[in-house]
Amino acid sequence: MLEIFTYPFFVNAMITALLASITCGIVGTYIVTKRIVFISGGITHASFGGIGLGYFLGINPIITASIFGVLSAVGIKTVALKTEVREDSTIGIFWAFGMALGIIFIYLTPGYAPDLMTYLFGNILTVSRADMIYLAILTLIVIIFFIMMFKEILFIAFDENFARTQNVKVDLINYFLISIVALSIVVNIRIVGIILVISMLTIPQATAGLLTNNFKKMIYLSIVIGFISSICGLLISYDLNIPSGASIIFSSVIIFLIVKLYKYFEPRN
Amino acid sequence: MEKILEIRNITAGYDKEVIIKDINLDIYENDFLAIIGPNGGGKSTLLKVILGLLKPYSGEIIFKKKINIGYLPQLHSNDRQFPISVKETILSGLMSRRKVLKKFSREDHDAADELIHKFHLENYTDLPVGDLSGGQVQRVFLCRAMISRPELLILDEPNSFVDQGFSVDLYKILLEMNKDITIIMVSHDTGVITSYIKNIACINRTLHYHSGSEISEDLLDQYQCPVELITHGKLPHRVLKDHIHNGDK
Repeated sequence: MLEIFTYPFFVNAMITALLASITCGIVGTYIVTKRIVFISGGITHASFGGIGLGYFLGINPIITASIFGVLSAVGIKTVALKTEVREDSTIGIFWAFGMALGIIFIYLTPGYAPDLMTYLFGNILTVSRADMIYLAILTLIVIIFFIMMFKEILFIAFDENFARTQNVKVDLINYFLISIVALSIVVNIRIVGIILVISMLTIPQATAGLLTNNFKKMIYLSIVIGFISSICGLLISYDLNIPSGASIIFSSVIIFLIVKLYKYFEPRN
Repeated sequence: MEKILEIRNITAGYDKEVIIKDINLDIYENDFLAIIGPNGGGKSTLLKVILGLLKPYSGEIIFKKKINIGYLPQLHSNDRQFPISVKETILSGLMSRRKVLKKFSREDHDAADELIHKFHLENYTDLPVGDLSGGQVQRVFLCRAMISRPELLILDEPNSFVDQGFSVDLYKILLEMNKDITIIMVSHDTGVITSYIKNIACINRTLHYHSGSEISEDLLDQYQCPVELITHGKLPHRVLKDHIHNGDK
């Protein structure tokens, strides 16, 4: 089995897994601690509209999905900020509307949508060079932004109202962050699929949360755990010929359970 | 005394429901103003408008000069499970000064350590805030509000969780700070209405301002302010002289 590490497609998959783990580790820690998992779910499903549009227009669905993702993220935030519609209702509307648009576009597209399954279930083994470059750029942006604004991000996530009283540009930073969340979600759709992408951004973080109470350490641990899950998932996916999304998430849940059991039986002092 | 803040005809609330109506109030340098009133009367709503956290339906808040505000929110408003340490939380009170990419300076850390000592938090410095008791978290948040040496300190129920033993210390610290800064404090704790509060505002939808520290029982009744504050305890008995009703011109 070891010979697969020499195959170019497998090396590509490993690089992709590493980049995705870094992005998801950072962004996911923010999502989990800020408790915006539901918004992230809304963005994920809303971006399906973009995937449909990509098919319809005959361009890379990841590009149109990114646009849909960012617009719905900004849309959800703006409706919550400027109107009195409840935020969770707003999320529900964007969630359903995006999915509906996606289905409409795909049915309007003549012929069969060839790799639609890839977007639903993900396949890290068939990630294209363009997708990899896109992921690498995003990873770089995420790293730079979080290094530059780490304290602001931490303090706003902890207590947004207090940050406002300190003249921090809370809304601006929040809009930027939610856009980054949207982009991270969309890129990872290629890897684990729409149905499972949220787990990439929450399960390694939940595992890390069992081991540390420090935001920075939670990010590092999530990256490591995410990467291990991805590699295990990748091997299982290759071996059993099943979608990588399912096997990656399966691995990450098993790792969560192992850590949870360890914490449970760990002697208390 | 110089005026630092004017509250002009403020009407505000949530979901189109008016909670406070036509509030007018001037706040002067070195004031120690207690805002009292029944639950739901609009105490916290007024604070949020002053802090710019809630946009009023009408009226305006006029700051006479640019000032630094320290704010202690009510305790339930944050997420206790968040992975942030006591020290980090206190330092977050310096955000308004921080430059992007700059680390907190030696002086910033010293200021935090001094407050940690003052508020008896030495044993908790590196613990996550979520591991602390309500009273301890409130002390951490007081440090966060004070670390920037604000010109105006706004405290929402500072005494609601702090244990009795510490509450005396807390008011000593506030009294000390009041020599240099202005303090606005929301409270339904009757114990705090002691001689070092300079003015009292009663709020129950509308506002009654009591210049000086004299209040009549009638008025407190009318505003459902906690009446014990003048009828029980060893606190100074206060008699209302003239007072300005909102809307009276």
